[in-house]
Amino acid sequence: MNRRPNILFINTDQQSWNAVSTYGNPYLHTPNIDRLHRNGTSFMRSYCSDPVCAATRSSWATGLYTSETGVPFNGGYLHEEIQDIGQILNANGYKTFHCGKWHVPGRNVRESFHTLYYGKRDIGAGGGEYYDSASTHAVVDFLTTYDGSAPFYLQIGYVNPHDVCEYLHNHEEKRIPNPLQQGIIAEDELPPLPENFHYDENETVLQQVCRRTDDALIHSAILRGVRDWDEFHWRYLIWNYYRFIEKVDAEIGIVLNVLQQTPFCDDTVIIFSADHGEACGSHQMFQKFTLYEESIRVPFIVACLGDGAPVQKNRFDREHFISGVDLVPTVYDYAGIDAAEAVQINRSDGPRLGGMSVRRLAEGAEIPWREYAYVESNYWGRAVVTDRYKYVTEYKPADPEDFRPPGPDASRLGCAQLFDLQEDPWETRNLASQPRYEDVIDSCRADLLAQEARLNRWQIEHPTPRNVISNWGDSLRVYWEGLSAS
Amino acid sequence: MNNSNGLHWSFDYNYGAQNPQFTQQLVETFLRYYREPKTDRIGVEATEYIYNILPNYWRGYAIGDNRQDNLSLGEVVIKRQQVNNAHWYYAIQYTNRTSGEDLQLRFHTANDLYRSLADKWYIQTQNDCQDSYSTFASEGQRVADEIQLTVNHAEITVGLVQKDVPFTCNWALFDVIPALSETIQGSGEVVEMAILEDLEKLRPMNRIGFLESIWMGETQLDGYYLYGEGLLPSYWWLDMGGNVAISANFFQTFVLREIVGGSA
Repeated sequence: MNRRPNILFINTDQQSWNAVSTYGNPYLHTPNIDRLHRNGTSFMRSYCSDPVCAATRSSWATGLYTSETGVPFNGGYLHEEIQDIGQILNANGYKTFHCGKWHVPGRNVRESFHTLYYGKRDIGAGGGEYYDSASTHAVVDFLTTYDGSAPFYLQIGYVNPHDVCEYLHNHEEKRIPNPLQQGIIAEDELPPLPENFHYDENETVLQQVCRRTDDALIHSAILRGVRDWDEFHWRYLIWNYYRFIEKVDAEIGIVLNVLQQTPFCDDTVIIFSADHGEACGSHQMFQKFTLYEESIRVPFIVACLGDGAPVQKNRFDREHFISGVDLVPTVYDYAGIDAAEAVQINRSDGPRLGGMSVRRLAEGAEIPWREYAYVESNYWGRAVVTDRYKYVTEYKPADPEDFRPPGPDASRLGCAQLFDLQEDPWETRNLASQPRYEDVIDSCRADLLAQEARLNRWQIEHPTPRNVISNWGDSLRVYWEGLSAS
Repeated sequence: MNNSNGLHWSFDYNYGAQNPQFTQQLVETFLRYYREPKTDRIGVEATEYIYNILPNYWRGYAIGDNRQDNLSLGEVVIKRQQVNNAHWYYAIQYTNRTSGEDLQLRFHTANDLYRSLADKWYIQTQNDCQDSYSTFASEGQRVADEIQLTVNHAEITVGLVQKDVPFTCNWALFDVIPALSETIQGSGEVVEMAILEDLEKLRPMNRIGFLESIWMGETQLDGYYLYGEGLLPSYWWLDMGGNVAISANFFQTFVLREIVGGSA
């Protein structure tokens, strides 16, 4: 590749790593994502930085963890001092384009990118049915008319399969008859219940308060709605989820087919990923927000349809841990921008990029790499995934909360979960209370604290996220006090 | 039926922020048509079916900054005309005020039960958002088993459909399902066919079957389902005249508002 490549970042919303047919899932058909795999390398140990839309997207935009960006949940607000990928690439000779979902609160996408299409009301949750189709039209129009005067960075944010959230909301109050009994669908078409439908209820307080209690902080109405679901309802949810993925796969197919016919085919690097996964009945959970694999583990493919980029094709990388914060350094690497030099933060005490470029890995090179993945969730939640174990923990809320995201502070750590991913890949047995795993937990905790010591958290100033932190913190403190009393 | 508001579960999106406007506006549109059908279908060659599009949104479509009295997010006009007592010509105008996209589709079908796609078809869109995408045009055709599209000189193949598989556009289903209803309901069997969604995306394996009959007001509606790969289930409700009165897919509910013109 003589000149700097074009970079096409295609992202879906809420797609778990295993919801791809070429990865062995027989219950859906994703010929176009499969095609990306055939033309690239699939990183099978890829984790989002935070399993909720705005949070992870703030990492995609900045290369920082969500406790650094100011967006540790959907109601966050990106620190205005942080430059985003659009601004950096624009300043370095790229033409940057955005299409579809953005969802980085606090940053106007139209000020950082040329927007091909961003909907009539700004695309957020819902509406994949028509937003995604319009996004594809916009991208096809662009690809077939772009003059090629400068290399482009184009990010396409598809909404689906996020519309599965609407499916769930729709079941808050109503029940649908069983289509198996109605003869509409056959038993063997429905995916089975997940292996981890039954789970170890010894979870963190954060998980209890956010997702399990009657008045759960997140989508309690859905929680109440699904409480009396039988096996069919859960399996039918999965079935529908896969149809959403097939819908977005078809959109991706049109983009790839058109790209193939343009002069940009050879010198366009394609990165494909999702902002987070979907629980889909695992641990009797729905949506995201949790630190279980289905929620945090996502597809990540680096591909090139032509021969212009030395990407290893049709290859699985099952070794390296990829993080959502790796997108930015990877893009900068392809763009010839020194990530260490790139000015990200207009503040002297600002954080530096936490991610690593995946480029050399995609080329098949052996390079020094991180030994674990680090994931944040719901402001206080943390996970470390090592070669064998997953350690999940939480910070107890401060009293009063000082609005500086917590960590690293061992004295405030709360409950823990430990899973042996080799013996128990479905995360059904929490080993944290077993004495023989003390060393493992100590090691994971050390990794966690070391990782967090490298992060630079600023006070969250915006009143909207402050309110969320205050309200959630109050609920968590009440729960903790109840535990202490009992 | 869903007892809480009288809507059948397949088109009951009266929930969350859309309670109670969704029910009110669906029933209002429905009843207005059946009480005062503005239909003169005699002696006119072309027929237009006009549907109001209601949003199946939990967060609500017309709330907050977007507050408005009318929940509708747009409309679709399905115009069809038989040419020389032989094939059919369709012109679809789909206007969506939330995506900002105005979709115009033109296609021909054979005069058969499946309204099989024939000849070339055309897609034209306009977008009035404040972004650079403003128009898009493409044309398509079937060459042997290949479904091809051409966009700005880029020619792509979107998939294969074998000749013996019934194959049509999703918007022709407004005629196909009524045409097949007697067969389906009588036999209890399902009909399988391939669908080219919006003339762009091939959904190769779908089946249409009978769901049940219900009453809405004083009108009996016969329900049919469409299930398949790559499509969320959709439900189609035919009135006693064989018109699709309500069609609900996952994110939109189409409610018949008006029929203009001659017989379909």
